[in-house]
Amino acid sequence: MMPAAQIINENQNKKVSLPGKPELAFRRVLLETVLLGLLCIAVLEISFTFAGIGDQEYLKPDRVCGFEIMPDRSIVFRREGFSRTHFNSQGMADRERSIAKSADTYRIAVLGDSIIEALQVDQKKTMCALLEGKLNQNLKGKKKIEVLNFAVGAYNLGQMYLRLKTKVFEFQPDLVLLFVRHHGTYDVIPQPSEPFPKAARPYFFVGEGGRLVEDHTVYEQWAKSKSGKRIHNFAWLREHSRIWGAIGKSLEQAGGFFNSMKAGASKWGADVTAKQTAFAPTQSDAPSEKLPLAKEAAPAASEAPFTQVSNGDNCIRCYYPIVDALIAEMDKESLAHHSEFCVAYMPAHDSAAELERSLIRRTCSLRHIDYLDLGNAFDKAKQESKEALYFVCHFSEHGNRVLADAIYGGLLTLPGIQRLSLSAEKHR
Amino acid sequence: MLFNSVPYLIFFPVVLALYWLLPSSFRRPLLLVASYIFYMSWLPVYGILIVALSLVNYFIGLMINYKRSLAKVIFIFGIVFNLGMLCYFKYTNFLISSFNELAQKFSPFFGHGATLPLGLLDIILPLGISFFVFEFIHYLTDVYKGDQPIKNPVDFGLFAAFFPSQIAGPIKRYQDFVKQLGHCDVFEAKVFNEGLVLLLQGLFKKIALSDNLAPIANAGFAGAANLGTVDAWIASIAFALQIYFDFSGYTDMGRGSAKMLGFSLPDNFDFPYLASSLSDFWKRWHISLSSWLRDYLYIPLGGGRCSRFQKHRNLLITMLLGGLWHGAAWHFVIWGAFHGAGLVVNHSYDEVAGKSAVLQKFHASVLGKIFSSVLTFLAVLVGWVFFRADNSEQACQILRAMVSIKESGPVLEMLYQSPVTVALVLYSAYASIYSLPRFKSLPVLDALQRKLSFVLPARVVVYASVFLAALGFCPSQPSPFIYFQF
Repeated sequence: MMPAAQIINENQNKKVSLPGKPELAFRRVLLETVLLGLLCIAVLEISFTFAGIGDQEYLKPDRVCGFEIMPDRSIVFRREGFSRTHFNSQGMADRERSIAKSADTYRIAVLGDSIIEALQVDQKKTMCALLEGKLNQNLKGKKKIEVLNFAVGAYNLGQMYLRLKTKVFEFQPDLVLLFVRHHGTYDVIPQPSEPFPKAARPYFFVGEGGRLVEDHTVYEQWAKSKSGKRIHNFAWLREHSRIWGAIGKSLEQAGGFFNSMKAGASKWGADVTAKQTAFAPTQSDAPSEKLPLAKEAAPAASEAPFTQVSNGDNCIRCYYPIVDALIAEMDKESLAHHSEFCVAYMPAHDSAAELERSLIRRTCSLRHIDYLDLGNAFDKAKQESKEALYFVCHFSEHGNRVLADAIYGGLLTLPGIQRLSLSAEKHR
Repeated sequence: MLFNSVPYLIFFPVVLALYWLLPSSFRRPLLLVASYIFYMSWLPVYGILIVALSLVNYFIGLMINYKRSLAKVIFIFGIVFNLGMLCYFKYTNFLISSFNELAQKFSPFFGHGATLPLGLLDIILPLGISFFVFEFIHYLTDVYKGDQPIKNPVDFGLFAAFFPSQIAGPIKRYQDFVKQLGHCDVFEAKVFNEGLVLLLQGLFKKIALSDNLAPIANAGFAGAANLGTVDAWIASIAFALQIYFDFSGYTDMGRGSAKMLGFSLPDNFDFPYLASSLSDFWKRWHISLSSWLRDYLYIPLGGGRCSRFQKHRNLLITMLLGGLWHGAAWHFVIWGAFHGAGLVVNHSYDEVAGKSAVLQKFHASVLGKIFSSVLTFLAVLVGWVFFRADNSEQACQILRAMVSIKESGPVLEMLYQSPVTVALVLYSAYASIYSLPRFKSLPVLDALQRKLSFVLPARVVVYASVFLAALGFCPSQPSPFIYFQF
């Protein structure tokens, strides 16, 4: 092999013997380097595309909802489970859907967060897809049933409300199905120190006379921050470059290390693993631990006696009025758009969520909102099933199947679906 | 601290910068301190162990040289001391659990008392203890045979703890290392560049290839009882590739780091899966270990210059102990025995083939070479199944699945989901530029190879791309280095 120094010397010799050439030589090297750089970028982009790498960025900032799914985007999801997902042109984790609704279609719009979005499994195996199949198979009548997945990962109830108003009603749903996850109350509390997308959430407060107040302060602050500006300035790269995505993922992983250093954790790996294997927020993750206000606050919504407990119940008591008001508002909006409205409470993994469960049940009962509690179905499935319901904290294929079955059973009790069922029987 | 971790990404540039910026008299102490920090980042208390081991061996070496009349006694003491440390940390619990199992089996003969289990000791295996011990044994043996010991304690400490080769080798020879200590003051851009290439290559091998192969192999071995045919083959081949990329990646990173500091460490791998026989495989796989086993075990046992029976016995003993060195478990012993038996067959066949013109002609042909390489790879693969399996029963399940006809499922699905195939294609392209011999017969490729190897701006672009590719392919949950446990 010829050593590098010799090659450089050869070039230097040329410089000496041919005056005027060095500039040309420099330009040539520059041009070659630029071309090689472009070639390397192309090779990496193509390789990452084939390998499904660097496309984890699928959320973009949105002034109304805080953030939303990038429309017409394909991603390979590996964080938990595996899927090759395509988001449709409407920015939904669903197949392509027409906005216009034909007369022979009954539409169910599903609102929720990452658990319903279900990027962990193939799009044909999500709860929404399975439920649609099941409803069409069993209630085969004059009407075709569509289950539209409007869920977006990391959405809080306020964002679901905004999505309902701005996007869902365009599709003229006959039924709006709102999935409230256990500890969903935590997500209505402003968390400005969280990274994007959580930092870009809009929030709601209960103002005078129980009026719901929309607040975008956290979003505005985030948009002006370094992180917000970076995401805004590099929007094109975020959407189109896999290399950018790969760098982002690596920085995220490195960030985990630096955070653990800050926290005094001795082992990065152990810390990351512990976080990933935890099914739900640990006590230290609960906002009641993060927000001193929540710890001290007196209960606002519950009639239950206030006791100083550290399992997050005080936090839920303190912030539940926002959840209550949002559910009421969504019900009101749905009625105004001639849609039925139903709340489904997602299975709780621990007793700490019991208070929240009972409060939601009470809200629905007082406001005459249809309510489906999926907890019992999941408790039964946990006992009977050998297959895992969850990957880590999102549903596996089996979990989605159990959820679809549970929801199907619950939906049959709703007036709209009962009418469909009767019509199907007549049709037969 | 792992070579592929964020701490090393901070640690190494700092050490590198200080090393080349400080006056040469400070460099060796700096490296020694850095090496101890590197080791103690894992478990600080074991820093004491490495210092103590180094001191004891340093003085034993000096004493062997100083008191030649008592050299044999001191040498034997040194060997017993080192092997004792290795046995205590590595094999105590293995011996206790084996004794318990045995006592359980023989309880009907020896009464109820024999079933009382001995409690396992709470021993944490110090990282790289086997490598330290092997280097110390080599040092003491060579000094005993008449070589000069290392007089400077800093140099000896550095030989023992040099961080690029500290945890998983390559196993150094002290004569080569000490020679380099005298010549490491001059910064050579060419050597530095070669080191950077090795470092990046190793990083890619480890995090883009090995870490993506690990989940496939793990899933296959974990579900050994219900594997389909294709699944079993994929799992076995995935592990064969994983262990190669893992270990050679680690070695490359170690050798690369050393080169950037001006040191040359021995190479450990030479395309082992292209070997034409098991004997050839051991000349290409973990070269520093196999040459150590040859020099300090096989040859002292009598080597090959004795009767056929003794030669075969020596081979078997060497490979059995080599297997046991890899881990205190019976499946490692089986792996070693398998390779020992394979080498015996290999040597016997070579004797027969040497006398047959037809066999010689066949092995010289392309078909013969391919046949030999494929057969060797299959033999190595069977060995790896025993090596990777949690126990011999699991290994047998995998091997049964490989030869039966069963429908495949989850492992094939994992391969389809994994980005590793694309990473392998990229690595092949990279290796053809930097690792394979020059394409002198193809002028265009030769020119490209030269340009990418020697022209600085082009190199910077390629290095940045390799680094980006490694980061991109890095899975969210990296796997530990396989050889750390040995």
